[in-house]
Amino acid sequence: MTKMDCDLLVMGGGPGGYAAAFHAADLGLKVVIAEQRPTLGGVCLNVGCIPSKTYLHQAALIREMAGASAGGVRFAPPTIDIDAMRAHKDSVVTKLVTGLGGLAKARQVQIVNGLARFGGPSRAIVAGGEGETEITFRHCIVAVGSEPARLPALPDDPRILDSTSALELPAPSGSLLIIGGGIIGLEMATIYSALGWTVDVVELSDALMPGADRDLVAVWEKENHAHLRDIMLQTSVVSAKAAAKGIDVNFEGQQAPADARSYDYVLCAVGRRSNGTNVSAEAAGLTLDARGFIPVDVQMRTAVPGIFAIGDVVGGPMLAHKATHQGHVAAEVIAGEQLGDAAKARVAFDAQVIPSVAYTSPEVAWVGLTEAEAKAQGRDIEVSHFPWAASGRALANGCTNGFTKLLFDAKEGHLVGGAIVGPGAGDMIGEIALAIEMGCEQEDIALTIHPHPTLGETIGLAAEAGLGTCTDLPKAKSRK
Amino acid sequence: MRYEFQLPDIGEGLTEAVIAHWSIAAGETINEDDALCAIETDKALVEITAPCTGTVLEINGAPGETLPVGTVIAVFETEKPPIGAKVAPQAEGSAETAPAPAGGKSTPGNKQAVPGKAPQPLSKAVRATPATRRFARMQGVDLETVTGSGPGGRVLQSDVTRFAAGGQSGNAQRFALTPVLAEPGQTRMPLTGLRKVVADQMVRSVTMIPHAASAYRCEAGRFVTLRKHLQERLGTRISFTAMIMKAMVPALQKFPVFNYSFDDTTNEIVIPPSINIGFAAHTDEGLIVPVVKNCEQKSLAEISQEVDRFAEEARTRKIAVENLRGGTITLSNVGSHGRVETTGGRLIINHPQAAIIGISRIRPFPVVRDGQVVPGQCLDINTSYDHRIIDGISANLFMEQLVDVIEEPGMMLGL
Repeated sequence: MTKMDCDLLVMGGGPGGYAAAFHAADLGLKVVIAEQRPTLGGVCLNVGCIPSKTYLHQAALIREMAGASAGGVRFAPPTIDIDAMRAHKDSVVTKLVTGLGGLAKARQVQIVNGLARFGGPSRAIVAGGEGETEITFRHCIVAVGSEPARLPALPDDPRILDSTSALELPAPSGSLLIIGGGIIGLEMATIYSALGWTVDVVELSDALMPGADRDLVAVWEKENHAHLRDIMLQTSVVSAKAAAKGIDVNFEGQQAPADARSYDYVLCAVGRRSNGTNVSAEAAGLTLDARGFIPVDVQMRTAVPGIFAIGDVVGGPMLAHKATHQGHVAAEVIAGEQLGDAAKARVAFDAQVIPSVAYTSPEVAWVGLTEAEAKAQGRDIEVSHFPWAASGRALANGCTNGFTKLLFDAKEGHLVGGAIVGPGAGDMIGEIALAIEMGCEQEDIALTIHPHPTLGETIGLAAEAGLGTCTDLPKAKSRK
Repeated sequence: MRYEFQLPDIGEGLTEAVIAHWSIAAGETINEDDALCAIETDKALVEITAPCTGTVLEINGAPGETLPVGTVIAVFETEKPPIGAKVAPQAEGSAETAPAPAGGKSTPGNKQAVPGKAPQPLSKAVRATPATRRFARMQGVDLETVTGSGPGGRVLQSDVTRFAAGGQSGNAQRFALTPVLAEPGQTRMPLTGLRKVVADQMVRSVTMIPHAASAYRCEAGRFVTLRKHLQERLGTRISFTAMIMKAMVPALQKFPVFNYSFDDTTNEIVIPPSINIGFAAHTDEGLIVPVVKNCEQKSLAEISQEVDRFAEEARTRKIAVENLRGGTITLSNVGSHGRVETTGGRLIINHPQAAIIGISRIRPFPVVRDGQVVPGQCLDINTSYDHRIIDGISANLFMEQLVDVIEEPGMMLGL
């Protein structure tokens, strides 16, 4: 067995793990990453965010070209070469993960290939293709992420897809049932419907995109009505049988079809489960919660001294940008402790908000408090709303269904939440997140000059609308 | 079994302490409750005893070094770690698999930055930018205790800096810190231990409290005579300090505002249930203020004994932390040192109290009695008070009451 020793072992090289490892190395620690995949980047770069975005970009192009005829530009129906699409997606991924490998090398971060598990509170075994490596460490960050959850009712069949295999585009066209109307399910619905597939979505709860306000989802549904066949809410899959011609699915619930339906493929997108159970946590003295998450404090410390955990494996929103932020916190605390920098050892995860984005067509993005949450918590808020129908740029771009809204604390006046639905929403939500973190009030945003004409301008206009100073809308009833 | 012993929090709010000396060296064996080391904290020198019986493998912290609470100061090899103790993680591995410290960074004495209390998530109610939040964490400042001076109560980075330096933020005067220019031949020493505590407390008092002051002279001939008689009859020493404290009690009962405190964090006047008089005691390392509690319930002899005992304990830095807390007003006997005689001066209130009383040495001065200048045994007595809650007239009335009792101590019988 090969032996290694390091200051910091990072289990998992995803967006949280590699960010923690690189930051710790930059701060002066000797760092090793144990990673199961041959490349860094985790689910996000290899089989998640990045590959799905290459397809989503193409899906958005297809939709936009179809809509361009109203503006006098007519395209012929697109020819879709899924082999070329797949190859393009792979080249994007390869370029990115190769770049990461180079960054790791330049920092002298060592990568041990294989599955890591604890052998004690300061020792781990990495089992890989080239045998086992024993790594002793002073600190460890568990960043092993999550994997798609599976429904036990589904048969073991190659036509049952998950978010990873769905990115391999199994056929040029066909019929697809997506189980789960969350962000991942709807992104896949966007891709497959743009490629010409017949897509149904079945969702157990009473609304698509749980967590987002209903007014945002209503816009999304209106825009996608023509692209999807059926959206079945409050409905579940009772059985799915693999037959020669397809997967026969029986439904039950409010919007269940009367008869069974046969699909060429079924995508299970019902969420993700923690990989915490894969690391022999008990050997280090770590206790997982009932859902396999590792409990941590605001410094990302677990209950075992020297062991930290970040990202999907600690629960909360399973988002790459959250994991990266937590990775930086853990790296700083650890470097602070090992190098005797007391100030650094005291940093903590203090972000107030974590933005959520559905990269669908149109995009839906929200951050901070939602109207539904405010109502549930009995919080007094003031909502400023700007409909894109009043935006010159939205009119020019043909996306007047969108809107931007801002939520302010009614008593203190500062921004507590915001949401955008429309093309580019995900790119614009960062401004709202920054404004929340900075404690901005309505006037701060309204008095910031936004470039005209842009879709981002609607954030400033929403604040003006709330103040009653917006001159792109009818005169507001006297307010302030 | 290996057990890591952390610097304990021996007094409320203590965040760091200075190692005064070690009673044992690494490698030696020790019994539970034997002296391990002494630390200097919050005004007192405190002995730390061994938490378990065993061999001391490592000690961390050189005498004079300031360590945050929670730092591992000693590592024991013990059969029986203290109940509830977390055993060091290294204990599990065999000698072979025990991790070698990487890069040689884990030498004993290397300052481990272990925070004292588990860090807490911030309440969302605190308005501060991400950079300020991070800065506060790094300074060890709990943002929720800092008053923001920014628009809408935002906590600014400068508020955190000021708070960390000992002053509350908010309305305090803003100024840039300017360094003393380095010159050849200059030497510098850090402000540590008690001197730092004193410095912080003085800055806090002067920065936060709008001081007003007044001075009085009274005849203390009868007061001196009474003390003489009491000492003869009781057969015990009665200090002037104790006599003044006893004389303060009826004045404080009549004008209780002098016994109040001011909570800067909430802008509340705090009314204590008892009269706890602190007295300034000098030590070579700086000022210590022991507190005689419940003076209104104690006889003069009891007060005097307590003053003498506390003064001695303060001088040798053995005083218990609880006897330094809870003061409601402070008495400073500035007449008890040296040959030159003080006739008054500005006293600094002991924050968060509302007033301080200073007395000089009793000595002869010419006084006018029945139109004649005659020698009198005089006591100069002065006060500084928090002008936010004590008006000049109240101060005068309070001091008049105190002066009356000193000039005619028999009044104590009638009050």
